[in-house]
Amino acid sequence: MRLPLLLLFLGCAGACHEAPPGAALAALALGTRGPDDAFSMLTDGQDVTLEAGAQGGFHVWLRYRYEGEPGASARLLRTAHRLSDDAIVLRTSAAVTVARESPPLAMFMCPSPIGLSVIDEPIVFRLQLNGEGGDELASQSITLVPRCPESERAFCLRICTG
Amino acid sequence: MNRTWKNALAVSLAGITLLSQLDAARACGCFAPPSPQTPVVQAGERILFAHDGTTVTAYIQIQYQGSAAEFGWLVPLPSVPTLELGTDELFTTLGANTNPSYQLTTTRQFCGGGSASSRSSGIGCGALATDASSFGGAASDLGSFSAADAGGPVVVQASIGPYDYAVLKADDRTEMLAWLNDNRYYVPDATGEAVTPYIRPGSYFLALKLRAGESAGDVVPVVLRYASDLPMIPITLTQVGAIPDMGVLVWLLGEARAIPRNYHHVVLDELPVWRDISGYARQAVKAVKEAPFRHAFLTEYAGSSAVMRGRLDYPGRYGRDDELKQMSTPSLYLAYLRSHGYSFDSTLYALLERFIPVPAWLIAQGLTPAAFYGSYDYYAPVLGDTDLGTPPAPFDPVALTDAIFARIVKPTRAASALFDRHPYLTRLYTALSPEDMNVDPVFSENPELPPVPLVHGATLTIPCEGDAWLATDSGFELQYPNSQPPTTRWPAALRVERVREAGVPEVLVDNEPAIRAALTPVDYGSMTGQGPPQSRSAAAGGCACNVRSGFPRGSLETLLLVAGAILLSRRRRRAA
Repeated sequence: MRLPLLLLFLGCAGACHEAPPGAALAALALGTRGPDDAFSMLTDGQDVTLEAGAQGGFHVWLRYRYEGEPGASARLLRTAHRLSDDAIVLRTSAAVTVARESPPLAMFMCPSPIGLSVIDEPIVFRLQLNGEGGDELASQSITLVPRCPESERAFCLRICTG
Repeated sequence: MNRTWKNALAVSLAGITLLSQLDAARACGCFAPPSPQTPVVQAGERILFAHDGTTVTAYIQIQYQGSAAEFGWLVPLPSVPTLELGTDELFTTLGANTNPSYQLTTTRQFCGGGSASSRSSGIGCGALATDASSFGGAASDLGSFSAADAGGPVVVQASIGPYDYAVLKADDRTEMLAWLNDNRYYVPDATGEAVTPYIRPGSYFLALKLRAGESAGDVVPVVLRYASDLPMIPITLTQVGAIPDMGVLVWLLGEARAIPRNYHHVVLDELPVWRDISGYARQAVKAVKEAPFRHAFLTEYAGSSAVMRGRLDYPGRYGRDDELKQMSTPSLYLAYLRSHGYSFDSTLYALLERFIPVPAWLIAQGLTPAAFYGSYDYYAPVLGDTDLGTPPAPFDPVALTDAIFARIVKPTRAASALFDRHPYLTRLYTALSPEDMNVDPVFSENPELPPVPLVHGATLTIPCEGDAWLATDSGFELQYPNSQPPTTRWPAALRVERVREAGVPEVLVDNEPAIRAALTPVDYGSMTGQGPPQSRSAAAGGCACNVRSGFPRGSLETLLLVAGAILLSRRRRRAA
């Protein structure tokens, strides 16, 4: 009984974070790194296994596919919020050159913010490309449920549950 | 009564001076002992991060005393870094320009009329310690080396300045540790465990050791630049060999105020500090300890990076290398250095000693490099006297200039440029004991948080009649019974908070109501006198004291190092 309700909620999550209708924005599709780092589409609401970062943390890897004209200088804003309470998990931005397909982008999950668990919790991930003047070029959100890798579950739980 | 207060303040300021002089050794990272039986003690860390969203630049100060043969350093990194040599002057200047300052204004009301008021100039009372060594040097792009040349876990193996280094793949602990052992690094058991979280595919370790012939005094800061989303200190590695309440001082350059993402944030209760400014460091440590799990940072400064602009590199400093190369005698050369802002520190002395060596017979008489180069013209006439010793080799100003520009001028200018590129500077402090070094602090930004000023102010009013009282700029009023600071025990932390990457802090512990409730209403005494103003004596006057964060004192002169790293010790000579 609880599962269908949850999925329904998750299904809304991505769309709820879309840019307002009418804005002339390029389409942005979100995926992750598949085999050989190839672009692999993600489905709203799907589970993702956290991947160990190089310095002892865990990430969700995202990639974007941009349908507009690439090559522009832009600022890529990456955010993640916990769906249940909108608590912010991550916000970071960086100057980028817009690519047709981005390289894998680490969405830094763990160590999670103090007092905030990100494990088995629906997390809304959002990428937003802003032009040099601050105008939004494209954005997209997706809700994913991070899971600890079984091989490092104890350590993962220790640093990902706030 | 006033005299008592004067004395108290004088003692307090003397304490500040002492604190400043002693507080020289800070470091970051982790030393691995030369053997499990002889742990190297790490007393602090100092690191500057500059972050632009995808790349982290980390300036890491390594302060170490011990055998050069037993120096080694290991840093986990998320990507293959570039490595450069840094300069200790960066940390000296950063400390001097971002130390919290407590400025006390004393106002005395006079019976019979008038009042006198004085305020400090804003210059810190405490002399700032200079760091023991300073080195700069040429950059080396680690990525330019071929992995095929090295083999095994080694991605890059080369030398820079006083160091030999290697970048190792960290995807196989056994292989990596074997390489460290084969190359005369020793990883004690406890350190091996601490390394485990960093062993994973796609990770790297930078291993560093002093080159043969270098001394421990040649240990210089390193600059690492690597791809990473957020700055992080691998403090877990530091637990081996760290001392209790080890100070960690972190500066972060970016676009907004930096926050500890996975540590608590504490706001210092200023009342205990005003009572005893020399106890600032102690209060800072106590405040951190009042946070859950003793995991917390204190923001000591957050604001414009302009506080550092022009401090390291300014018009005319260092002169021109072509001019310097024309200085045909050591005397002219040294005069040029003195007139162009060169810091005569251990880095410069080390270079001078290579090209203008102090004669052995003078060393035998106990002459220091500082005394020799400071009075070179006094000794110059007898340096060629063969009866005293071997005459010096011909002076080579070109080679010396090249070395100075490579090791001092270039890295100092590079560090200075950081403050032009990044508009916001945050200084965070914490103190951690080894048992609490179990979560690596990660830093991000929250542009919604307000700045934290360097200067904290208060006014001490000494009325015509009655007791003095203190009014702080932060809104507290405090009576000084018999003009003595009260002995009330206050919490060290005004608040313990969670700070996130957006929004205002979430207050977990708010001590302010209790502190205010415990304060008795101030009796303002008589303020109606009409006497003439009196000049303030020096002892009773206002003072601004730069305070420095709480680093353990006793071991400050014994060693230290820096940033998210582990200092490994080279295995003592292995049996053949």
